[in-house]
Amino acid sequence: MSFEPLFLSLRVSAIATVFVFFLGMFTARLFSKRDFYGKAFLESFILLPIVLPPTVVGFILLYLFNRNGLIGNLLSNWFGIEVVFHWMGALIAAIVVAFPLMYQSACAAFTSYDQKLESVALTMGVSRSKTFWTISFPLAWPGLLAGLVLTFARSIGEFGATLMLAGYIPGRTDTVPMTIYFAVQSGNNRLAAFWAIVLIILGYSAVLWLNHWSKKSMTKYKRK
Amino acid sequence: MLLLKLFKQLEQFNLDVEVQIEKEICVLYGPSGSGKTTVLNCIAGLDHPDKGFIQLNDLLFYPCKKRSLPIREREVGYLFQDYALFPHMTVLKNVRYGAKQEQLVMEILDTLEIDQLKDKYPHQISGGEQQRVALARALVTEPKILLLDEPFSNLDQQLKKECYRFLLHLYHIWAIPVLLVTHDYEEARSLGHYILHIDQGKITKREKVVEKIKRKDKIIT
Repeated sequence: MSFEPLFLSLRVSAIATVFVFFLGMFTARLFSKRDFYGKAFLESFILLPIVLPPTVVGFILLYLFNRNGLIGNLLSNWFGIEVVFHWMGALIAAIVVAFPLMYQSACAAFTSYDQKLESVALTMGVSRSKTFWTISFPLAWPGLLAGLVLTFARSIGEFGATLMLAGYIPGRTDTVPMTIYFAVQSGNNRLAAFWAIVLIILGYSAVLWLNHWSKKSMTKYKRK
Repeated sequence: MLLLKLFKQLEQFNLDVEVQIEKEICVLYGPSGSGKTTVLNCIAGLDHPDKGFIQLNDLLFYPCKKRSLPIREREVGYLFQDYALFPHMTVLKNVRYGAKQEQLVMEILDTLEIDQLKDKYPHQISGGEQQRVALARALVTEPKILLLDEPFSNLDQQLKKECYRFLLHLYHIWAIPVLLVTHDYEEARSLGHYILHIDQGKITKREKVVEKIKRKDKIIT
């Protein structure tokens, strides 16, 4: 039995998590601090993958990223990158479906502490960037961490949009959820059960670690 | 010297004040909701007036090229009513945060008698100690003006007296303009060289406190 599906899933979700963490955090920071024309429209657009079925998200991505699509055409002509039926397709699908979760967690995280503390730092002559990294970021960290774990869990479990965009090509785009589905389809229930247990252990460990870590980090400076 | 002329439309009334402070303790005394904190916030840059000007020594805070001078360029020490200490930092990290010189951090910790608390977190120390930490944190930035927003309102009588003593002691060392907001008339008389009575956004009375030195000695000794 090949462990390639696990390595591919971990690679896709790790890259997606890092990318979504930073993009989601900075977008949430911008949106929670500033009001601008069209903000509600943009925010609704960001959250759209939560309410849409993954197959619809996958269909839209396929439309945009196929060789003749708006983005796929640019990627193909400028960088020679083909996304469809490639593990990059799985990565893009994971990023798109996980982004709203990170965004929502980060928005809540950046409004969860006393906003005056940032002003206090500024009155002390500190730059906005230092204020962000030394005040806003550590105080928002528990919420950001929750977003990080949710992003990882959503990325590693992504199926519908990935199937539409990356397809199922053993050795190339066979992530764990995809392997489970096609194992069941071909009647290989033992293989499906094995990968299902792997995913359950991964998900459970992530949530357990999150709970433990956030409690540990919060009790350091908060009243019990 | 602080020169201030502010006009700002608030929900209940219009704030319209004119203040000039030399190197002295000026007290803005008035009931809650009379616009005292808004005045401090406008000086610190956390709020903006609709009209007027704010100038500290040669530096124009408002209006300036960017409409208002950025908060961090104002060199203002601001002690908030709830102290607003950074909860994730120890006392030492709180005080050191905006410090320009490490030596000054140690000196102020020592002067305010909080050096033994430096490894504790804000929630592990008392209200009076938090107040002194917040004051230390505001002072290590070597501000050109000190803004104090009802800093003693959460303290008991004995602790208040102790804190008055600290403030006056520091004022003698630092000799910078201090603008203190309070709704406690006794506190205003104990600390201020001048008391500006404010009500509904207007200065209704300017009171000079006489025999200041005597009272200060009383508190210190």
